Amino acid sequence: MKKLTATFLLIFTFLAAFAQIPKAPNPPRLVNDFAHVLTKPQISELEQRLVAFNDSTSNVICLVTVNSLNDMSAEEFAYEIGDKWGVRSKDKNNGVVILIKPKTDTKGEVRIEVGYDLEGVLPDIVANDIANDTMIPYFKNNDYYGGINAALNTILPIVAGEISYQRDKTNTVGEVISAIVILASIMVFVIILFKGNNRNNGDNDDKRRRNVWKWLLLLSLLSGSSSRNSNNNSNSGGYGGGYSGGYDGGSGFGGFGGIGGFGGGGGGGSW
Amino acid sequence: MSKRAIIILAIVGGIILLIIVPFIGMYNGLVGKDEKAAESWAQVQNVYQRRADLVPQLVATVKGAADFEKSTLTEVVNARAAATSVTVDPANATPEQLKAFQATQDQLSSSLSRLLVTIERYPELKATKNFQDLQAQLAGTENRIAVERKKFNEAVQDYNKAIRVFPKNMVAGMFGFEKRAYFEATPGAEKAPEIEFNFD
Repeated sequence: MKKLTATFLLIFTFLAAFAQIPKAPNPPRLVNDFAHVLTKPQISELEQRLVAFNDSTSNVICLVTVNSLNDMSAEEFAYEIGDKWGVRSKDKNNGVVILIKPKTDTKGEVRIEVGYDLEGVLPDIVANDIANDTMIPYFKNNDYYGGINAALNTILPIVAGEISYQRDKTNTVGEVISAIVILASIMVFVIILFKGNNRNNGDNDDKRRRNVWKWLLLLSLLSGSSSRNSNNNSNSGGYGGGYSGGYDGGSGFGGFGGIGGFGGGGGGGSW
Repeated sequence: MSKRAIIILAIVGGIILLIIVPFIGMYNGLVGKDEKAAESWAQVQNVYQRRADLVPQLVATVKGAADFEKSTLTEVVNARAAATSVTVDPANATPEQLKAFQATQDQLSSSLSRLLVTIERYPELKATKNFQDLQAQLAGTENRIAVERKKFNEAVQDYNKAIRVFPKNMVAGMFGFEKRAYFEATPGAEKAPEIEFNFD
């Protein structure tokens, strides 16, 4: 019985440890106004701006507002969101989390958490300056939209200068090589098949039966490889590999990249 | 070779394969986790080094301020020297090594925070842009230390758990995968020390 309670306690603390930050939005969104400090049009405008930025540069800027930090520091909270939601692209640690805790009974806090690959262009001092000199003056007047917009006006050009590539660019060299390898292995297979056929000294009936199987095998192989090719084609027309899922038609954001990518860099302030 | 002999050979070969293939997978998995832990340790050392590199700049800036009490400064300098003298082999970090590392780094942490408290009494020094930038960098570094320590502990826990569960513990025992040491939680160590900003 004691053991059982212990297990339950363990599970409970485990759950509690994960309940500290809000769950990743599904479908994925870049603007997450949990504190309701923005209007609907403002949210969709910011979302469109950030999605367009993500499309053109691959950098993932995620905005989160919350009314409570659940006893965590703003640094921890923003880090956890960046890490657990996976605010980055598939192959680069190029995410930024802008966390705003509006001033209520408790002080207002803002934190700009910067992914590993952007720490160079967005060092702590710059992030601190953006938070304290650009955002907080607006926030003091309760103008959250204005502060966010001003911050984005500064952050986006800086970040775009560091990492900027069309995210639907596919690796054509790799595709050609893999196609050659597949073709070559099919040819080797065919050669082996027919060589074995010639050496076969069984009676005619047996031979024909085996031939049928060989042709069937060959056909299925070919059809398999051709369907593979058509898959590749449809991919290169769309968002490129790895961005599947989460396209909800509304925001058009392809989705977060995956866990990790943050090392505690960034800056912030309070008011 | 008769047909029967071939069949028996094939079956024996298949059974051996069935046994060996999962072992290879488990072994490789353990190697991966071990590497991950070593890598995380390298990151921990990086961020501590980053702090050690900031100390001389901080000392130089503070020294410039007139009649600054020298005792807190020398304390910081000594603590830095002690902290940088302890190195830990990432491939084989023993609990004692880690403890010594942690002790000297904690010493540096506390002497640094004492210095920052002392600086509170020098408003003209605090007001300089140079000092404020250093303070921002220092706060950022402390935050990075907290994050990388946490990541290291997570990686080590993941590895330690893997080498203890059946049947991976058999593979671990055969190839000598040993339990890795991790940071003991010193009170408040999981949180970055408070470094207050007042840019008003």
